[in-house]
Amino acid sequence: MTHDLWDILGPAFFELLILVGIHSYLGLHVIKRKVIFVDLALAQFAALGTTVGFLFGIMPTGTGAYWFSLGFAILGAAVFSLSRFKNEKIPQEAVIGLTYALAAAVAILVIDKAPHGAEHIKELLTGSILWVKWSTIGKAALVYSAVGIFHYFLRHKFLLISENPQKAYAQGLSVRLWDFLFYMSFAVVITHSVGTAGVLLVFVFLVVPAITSIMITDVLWKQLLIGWGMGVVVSVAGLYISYVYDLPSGPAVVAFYGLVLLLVALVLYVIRSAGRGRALMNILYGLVALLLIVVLFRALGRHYQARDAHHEHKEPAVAEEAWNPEEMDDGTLREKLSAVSDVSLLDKLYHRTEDAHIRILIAGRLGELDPHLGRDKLEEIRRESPYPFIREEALEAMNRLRK
Amino acid sequence: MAAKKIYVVTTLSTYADITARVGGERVEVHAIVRGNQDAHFVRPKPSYAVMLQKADLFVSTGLDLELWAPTVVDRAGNPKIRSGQPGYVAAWDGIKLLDKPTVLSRSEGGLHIYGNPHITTNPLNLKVIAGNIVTGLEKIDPASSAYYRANLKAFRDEIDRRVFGDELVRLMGGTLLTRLANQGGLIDFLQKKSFKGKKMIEYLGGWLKEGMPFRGKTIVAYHKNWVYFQHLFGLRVLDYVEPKPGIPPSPKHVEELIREMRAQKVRVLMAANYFSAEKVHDICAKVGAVPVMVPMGVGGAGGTGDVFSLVDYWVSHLKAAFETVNTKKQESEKR
Repeated sequence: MTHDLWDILGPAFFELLILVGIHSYLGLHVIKRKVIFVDLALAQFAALGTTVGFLFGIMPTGTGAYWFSLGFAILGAAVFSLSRFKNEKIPQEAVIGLTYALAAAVAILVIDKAPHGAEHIKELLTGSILWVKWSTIGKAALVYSAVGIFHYFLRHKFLLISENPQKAYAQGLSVRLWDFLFYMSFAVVITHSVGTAGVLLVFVFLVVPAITSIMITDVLWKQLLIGWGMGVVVSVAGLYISYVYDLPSGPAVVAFYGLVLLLVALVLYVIRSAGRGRALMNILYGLVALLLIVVLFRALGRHYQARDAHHEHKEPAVAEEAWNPEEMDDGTLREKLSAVSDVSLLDKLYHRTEDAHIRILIAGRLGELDPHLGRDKLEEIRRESPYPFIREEALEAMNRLRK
Repeated sequence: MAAKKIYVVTTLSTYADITARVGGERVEVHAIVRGNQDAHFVRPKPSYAVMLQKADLFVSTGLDLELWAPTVVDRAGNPKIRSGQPGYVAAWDGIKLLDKPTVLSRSEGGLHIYGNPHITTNPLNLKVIAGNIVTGLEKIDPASSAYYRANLKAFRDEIDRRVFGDELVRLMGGTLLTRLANQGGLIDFLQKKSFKGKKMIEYLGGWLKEGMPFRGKTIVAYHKNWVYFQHLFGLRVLDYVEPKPGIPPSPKHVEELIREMRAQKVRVLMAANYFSAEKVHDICAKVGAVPVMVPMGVGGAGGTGDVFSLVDYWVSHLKAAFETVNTKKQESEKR
């Protein structure tokens, strides 16, 4: 690896590693609690915090903005812990989706008053993992370790509520309080990670390792190991792919994660089904169907491409530059003029332009063919031009003719 | 002339400033895009449609810069200002476009199938734009033609003097200077010719003179916003950080960019100030470059209230960045 490459990919690689560490774990909770979109909603709350801070004149880069976004994310955590009901008539996902939409809408309304709105919203989605700084990674590592230790000591309570809330209620635990603590620690992580990696990457880091490991095993420590292993492999491979095939890094890792999940699911499907031949046939059918869909869309695309080609892109014919002195530099013009010995053509060219400098050049050539005519024209320029430099040029051209 | 003013809506704030200059007290102007916004991506608001409903004249670039403009015009339901109608002005008309694509393909991030639409970054182009706006005003209010023409001449003269300096304009006239500058051969020409025992280049003033410290120098630009500016000031652009608008660059691109910046000792990065300042500063920190973040349009930063102060801002900030680079270099040499 060259030095430059390490400069660029090194920080991104370590950032991905520490993201894998905490998100694979939190993802297990998220899946078990069935609150998949909670990270999106919390991230949106954090972004809303940044924008509100902006209204107070706090630039979105400083520490002030960080506290604003963290504060708002914790507010979001409070909302989610309050929105869990014992008997689920309203699913919590509905509340989460709604909070997301509201926070996003309010952020857009707020940002409309600020100039760089569109940029920030785009940034939030894709992140900028390539530009992450070592100092940011160091901070993230500290924050994530703190959250990790917090969860390690309180793991029994958190896991109980995530896996079996009814039992937790029965034990007389204050589920609301523990929920708040859980979402708060989640908010701390999200505020940090969304800022560098973007919503897409964070979402995938949470969900994919968790789904994969839950598919494979029910034992927590095995789930964790599978999630971490997968995360590391996919991050390295995704970064490498994005480098070799010249693709944006964040989206490349996301797409590769999705692909790996699909492959694992297919392999498990074949291994676990009673009739393996049957399962393989089903996969084959799936592939054929996929191929068919691709072909269909391709045909559709081609059709419209061909149609649009008829309608659009009728570029106006390029004006032939054959004799447009105003498009040429002096050298070219002189050369072209010296090839002309048709006095009437030169005269026509002379009157076609109003550029005194070009007129002098044309008159000079005219003078070589017909000294009288050339001198008259130069004299006219010398008399009438309002610009001293042009008058001098005309005079010099007349002197040259005399020699 | 009746008391009723011509109601003009422009896309860019820069067009609005020019319109106000040539239209004087006979027009009322409103702009849609603020000077520190990205003209590519503007969120349509109902107020735009309301403005366009009332508009007598609508000024837009006419290329694929304001991609949202046709939709908003359709929504406004004002037939006077549709493309091709007398109430529509295409600002680019008559400007020689740079960066014309050789292969037409949208996949190349190719928003710009006609050529680069960021025409307002060369002050000489503003003279052409002002002419197009006056033609539009004349169609609506032919009686005031002489008034608009006088304002146009004053505006063009002012631009000439600001670009080339009073002395050079007096000697050579703005038309010739503009032609030579647009062809890219002005500085050569001035160095070869002399007048009254002094080289013509010594008569040069204005922005071009102020920009001499960075003529021929190389910079990196964030996006292809500055080609017309670079053409006038003889700046070379090594590469772009984000060649495709809105798509984050790939690691390979960044690697090459950084390697080339180090190899060729490129130390200045220029970006429009609607891009994320944090990102630009991070990139600069990585390669030891000085960021120049400037607004694209009039009013996009403090002290850019009109087109003249806007170009002043660009030139002086770029010059200051190169001065910073030089002092840094000297300091490191002393050590």
